[in-house]
Amino acid sequence: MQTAEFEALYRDCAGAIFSFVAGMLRDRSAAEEVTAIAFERGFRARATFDPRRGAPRAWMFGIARNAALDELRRRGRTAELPPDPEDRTSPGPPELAEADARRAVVLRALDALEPHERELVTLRFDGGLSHAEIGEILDVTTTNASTMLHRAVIKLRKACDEMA
Amino acid sequence: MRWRERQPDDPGVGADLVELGEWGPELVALRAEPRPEFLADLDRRMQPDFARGRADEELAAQRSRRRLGLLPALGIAVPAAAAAVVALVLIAGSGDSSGPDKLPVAVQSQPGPKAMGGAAAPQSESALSRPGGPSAPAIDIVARQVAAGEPFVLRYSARRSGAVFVSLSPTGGGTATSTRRVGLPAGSGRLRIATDELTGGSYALVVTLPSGQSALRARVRILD
Repeated sequence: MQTAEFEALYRDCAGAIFSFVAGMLRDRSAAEEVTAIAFERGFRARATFDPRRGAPRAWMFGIARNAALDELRRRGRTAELPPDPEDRTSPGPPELAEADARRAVVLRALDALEPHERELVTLRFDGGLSHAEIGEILDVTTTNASTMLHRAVIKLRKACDEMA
Repeated sequence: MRWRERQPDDPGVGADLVELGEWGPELVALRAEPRPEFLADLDRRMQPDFARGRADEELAAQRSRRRLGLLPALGIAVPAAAAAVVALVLIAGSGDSSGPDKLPVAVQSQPGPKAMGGAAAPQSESALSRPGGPSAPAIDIVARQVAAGEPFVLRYSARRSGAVFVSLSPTGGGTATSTRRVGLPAGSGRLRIATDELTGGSYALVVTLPSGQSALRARVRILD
């Protein structure tokens, strides 16, 4: 991958990568650093990108995922981080209190998911990746990625309903 | 990462959100967006890498253009469509030896009777058992594996001047093989086989004497 191609990839997905990493880490500050590290790693590894093996976007998300997992391992904890209220919900007038409460329910429900299920949800809804791209990142077929994601979403909905 | 396969159209994030029912909008609202300041900082952090990468690529392109620019003048056809075509540029320092196809071959040698025992001379082979006899050049390879863009380096020593034919062809299929006649003066020296135009992979490197005997046969690799 030439520098210009990598730069275009960076322009295209820097925001989505940050959102995905933030979803993984639940820590905006750490997500910023990990996002930067991921792009630096990606740039150094750009010569190893093989278009026959997947889309550039999925390749870059794979690097970001590994960087986020490295960070979680470094911290000695998994994604069961306490949600940062400032990151994931925002204070507001009283009429927004109900919305905040509902978002807190979703956060608790996300915490109730298995790590791989939470990662699927994050890749899809924070990263905005297609089922095919998720399959490439997780090394499963698209069909499997779709099935796994469907199950995770159903489980998340059920958890939200129960916690509401 | 799996090999890419034919995929059905993606249903879209919205379709999956519907499965969350009333919780879908809340999940979307929880998505953390990057701060503009962070994106600006990230731009500043990445720009030196991008600038350095562009400069390196431009330099490599200039080198490649210079090399390619030599070829038409030398009457060498390089079939661009054949990915496995081997463009050999043999350079061995200074000298006036060149093959009939006028490749830019120069031989760096240490002439004289010490040629066979010189520092650059291959030592592992008995001169008497060498293909072509003791007067034939002895040739060996310094490293069978090189990084992309790095040359294969052959060491040779010869009691008298002569010629060899060097060929390099991909081992993984393809019929394209480029053979170059290279004149070697008496003495010892080195041949460099440029790999700039070659893709990574495994190649058969063969050096043949005019008699048809192989002076060197090696499986070599260009790393990606």
